[in-house]
Amino acid sequence: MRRDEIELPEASGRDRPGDHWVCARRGQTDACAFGPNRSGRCPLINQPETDQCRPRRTWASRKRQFSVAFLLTAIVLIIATFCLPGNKDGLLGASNTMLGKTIKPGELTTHHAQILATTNEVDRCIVCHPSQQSSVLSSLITWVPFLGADPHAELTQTELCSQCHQNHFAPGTAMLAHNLPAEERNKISLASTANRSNDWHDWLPSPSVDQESLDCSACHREHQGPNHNLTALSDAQCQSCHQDRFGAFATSHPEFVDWPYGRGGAISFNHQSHQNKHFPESKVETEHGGSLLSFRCANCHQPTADGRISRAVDYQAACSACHDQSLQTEVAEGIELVSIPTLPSDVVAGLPSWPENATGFFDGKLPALTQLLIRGERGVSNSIDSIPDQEFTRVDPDSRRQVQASKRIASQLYRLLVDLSEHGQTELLKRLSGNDSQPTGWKPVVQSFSPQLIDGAMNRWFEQPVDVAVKMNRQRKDRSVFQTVQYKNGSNDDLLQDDLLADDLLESDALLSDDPLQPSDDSNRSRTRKRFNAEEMLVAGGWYRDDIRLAIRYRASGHADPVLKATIEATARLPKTDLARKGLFQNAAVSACLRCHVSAIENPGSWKAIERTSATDQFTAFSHSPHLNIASLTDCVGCHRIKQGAVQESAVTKTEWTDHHANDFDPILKQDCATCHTKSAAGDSCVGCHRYHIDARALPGF
Amino acid sequence: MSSKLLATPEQISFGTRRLIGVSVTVFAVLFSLVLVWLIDARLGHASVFSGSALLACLCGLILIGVRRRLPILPLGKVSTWTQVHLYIGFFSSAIYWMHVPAIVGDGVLECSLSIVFLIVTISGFYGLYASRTLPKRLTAVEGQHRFDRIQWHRDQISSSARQLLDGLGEASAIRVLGNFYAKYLIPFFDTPPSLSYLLVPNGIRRRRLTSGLKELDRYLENEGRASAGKFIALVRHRDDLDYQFALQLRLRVWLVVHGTLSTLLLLASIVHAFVALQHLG
Repeated sequence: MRRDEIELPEASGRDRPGDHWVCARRGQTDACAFGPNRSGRCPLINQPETDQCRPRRTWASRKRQFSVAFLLTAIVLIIATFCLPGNKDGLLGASNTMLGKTIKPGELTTHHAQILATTNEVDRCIVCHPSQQSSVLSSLITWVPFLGADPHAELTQTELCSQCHQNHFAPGTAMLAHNLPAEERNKISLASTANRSNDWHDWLPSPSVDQESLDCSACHREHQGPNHNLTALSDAQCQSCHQDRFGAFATSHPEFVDWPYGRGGAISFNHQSHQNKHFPESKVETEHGGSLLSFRCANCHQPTADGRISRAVDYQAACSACHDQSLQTEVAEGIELVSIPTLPSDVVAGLPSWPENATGFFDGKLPALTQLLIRGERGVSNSIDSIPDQEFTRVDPDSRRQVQASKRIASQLYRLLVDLSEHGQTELLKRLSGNDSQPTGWKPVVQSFSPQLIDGAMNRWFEQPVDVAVKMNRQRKDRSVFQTVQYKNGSNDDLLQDDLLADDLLESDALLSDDPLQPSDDSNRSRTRKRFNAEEMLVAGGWYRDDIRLAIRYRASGHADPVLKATIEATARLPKTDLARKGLFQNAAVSACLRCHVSAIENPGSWKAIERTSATDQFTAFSHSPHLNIASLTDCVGCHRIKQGAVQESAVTKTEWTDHHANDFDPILKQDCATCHTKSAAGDSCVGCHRYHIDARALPGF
Repeated sequence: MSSKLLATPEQISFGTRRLIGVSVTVFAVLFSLVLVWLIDARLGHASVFSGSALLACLCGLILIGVRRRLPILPLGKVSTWTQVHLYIGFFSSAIYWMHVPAIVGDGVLECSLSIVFLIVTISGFYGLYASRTLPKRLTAVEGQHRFDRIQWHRDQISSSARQLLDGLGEASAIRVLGNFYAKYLIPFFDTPPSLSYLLVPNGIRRRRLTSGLKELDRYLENEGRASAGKFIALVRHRDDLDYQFALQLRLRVWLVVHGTLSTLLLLASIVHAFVALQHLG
């Protein structure tokens, strides 16, 4: 053995390291042969005369002690977190108080955080999480079958979202895919059937969401940090629901077809004819030395303060210089309120009176407004329908049905005039409003109308004073026209009440008293058939009586005439099959308005061009602003190329007004955009151009 | 090749086992990545999948503790369990990365949960490192002492040193070695190693005492020198014991921390899963 080596004894004896206790004298000669029991007591404890030891805990025991103590502490802390004090509802475990501070999977986005900044930390969760409205223990119990139902089961998180965002969608559409009903989505889906492409995206599984019940959280995931983009969606996510899936924009996206044209517009303007026919470059330069306003896009489509491009400028600024005079002439024809048709004497025989000048062969047309005024009576609509095109010229005198219809219309016309004389604007408004869901729409028409016009017309056109006709009308009540005739011929006729023969008609020399050659102020003078010259005497427009045509007419003042506007708006609200609607839109003055204001027919009141940049009824959103910073795109014609070749007819020449969707631009090509919009350049994400949420309220017919 | 696949784990070489384990883990991670992407793409909640996978992994990882406590059941070898535990641990780390929006959560629960997970994960990686290095260091020193018997061995060394001193007959040896014993050896033999030594075990004390005893040779006769040699042997034994104690303690403490926090992690994860499903929307 080397000098620096030594033999040491080996450990022996009873040794149980897995036990909780070990003898304190372990390894020593006087160590206990059995060691301590399981509770850590020395076996010699009952032998006072022996030298007992105090057993020591083993490492395993201390480890268990530590682990159990640590875990128990943690469990107690967790339970305390969820079950700490006082629930105002008295439910099992309040929890909300601590829970609001304890459970916070991530910061809210800045927008939501700002809104909830003033809300205390507890209520913040409740604003969005319906589960927070009940305690955690209560929620836990609802998971156990038959033990209880969630009192807030009917309130979903999406409904809570909708409570704040309800203005963004049409009612009841918040949970529909694209906020559109299934039939609208099917239309879009079917429209793309022919152009479907094949791509590896087609192999992706179908979405995990129900398109009829889509939660907000399916796309918008909160608690991802203050700068998280809640509206960010990957292309794959967008296409998970789509039947036609494609890859990169440049290589796989379908062509635009006619986008952004063909979507209709409030104003119809033929760019092609204006550029090529009315403002050709050659004409501008050679004939006017370049001084004439040339056809430049920016003349009308000017950039707005917020960087957008306006769709149109004011009429006075852009159109009046060329179109004011012609428009004035066209709208001067105006509209007719009432027009007395020429009817055979046997048709009007039963009427109290009928203008002599309107007695003869069937002639004349029933104005659209007159139709609206008289068709409130039962059966009159059928009578109007019986007259071909509402033109009495086309009435077959041998057709008993048409003759009877003419009689009925004549009767109602007479009654209309009498009622208007008696009640004036009240009667007019009542009769017009009967056709419209928005009675106030006719107010500008009624406001400008003077009932005295009817008085004058009755006096002039009918062989009967107005007051007599009114009185007869009152007495007639529900009697038929023919009964009225008999009544009129009876002894109670006011005109016959005084015995005209009682006075000696020859008592005075009529020839001496009234010199027909001298001007006089009697009624004969007022009946002079001198036509009122509206062109000269009604330059600012207004209602007047046309004694030649036997009509009450309105002469429009020019652009934006309030009576014409109100008439068109109110009429546009009528069903498309309405004869009066069709008749009015064929009126020359109305046509002159609708030539440019094409959308006023389908969307009553839409007289001005609508800025589409914020239109929420469109799937595609485009902002000109960033594109105009690119040198090659500063000129509009870089993208918006006017069609060349034959000048297109203006939409107004079409008989169908819905044709205004036709456009005079060549379609923008996908390649125009794909030059820059690639993944590595300007980006080709779906949401870069497409809007998900569509406001169905803006869709026609919704 | 087929015979290799049919072989028991012990028959497959360590390199092959590692290759298989790493390959399966990498495949599982890639498969999970694809699944997460697919679920996300079809507007599903990928976090539910990743969370469920993570919870399942935690349960699987915890099972190794159960296996250790049930040695009598035919549940396979602990070494096999350890290897599976190791690769599930790697997989769990990847799944955690897919699951969380931020490495450390915001709320008290989420923050605690993520910190506990990170501690358990880091301790797991340390365990892997320790299992590769500490056994070599332990076998490098003389003797193999069980942790629970180390104190008994210390006592034996201490009493041997006292007996050795008591047995000295030479006056110079008694005086010189007695002084050295009283001044340096008693504190060394009778007190447990310092915390700094437990954290970073080293041979500084051993070298200092050994050289001190050797320097006493010039003052000693033959008997004294022989006794000084015995003291040197006792010092070496004691230092070896302390070295083994420090390394074994390190392993045991690691095991306690890793095991206890793993259990806590599982409990907190279950709570988190319940809360998350309640607030899923």
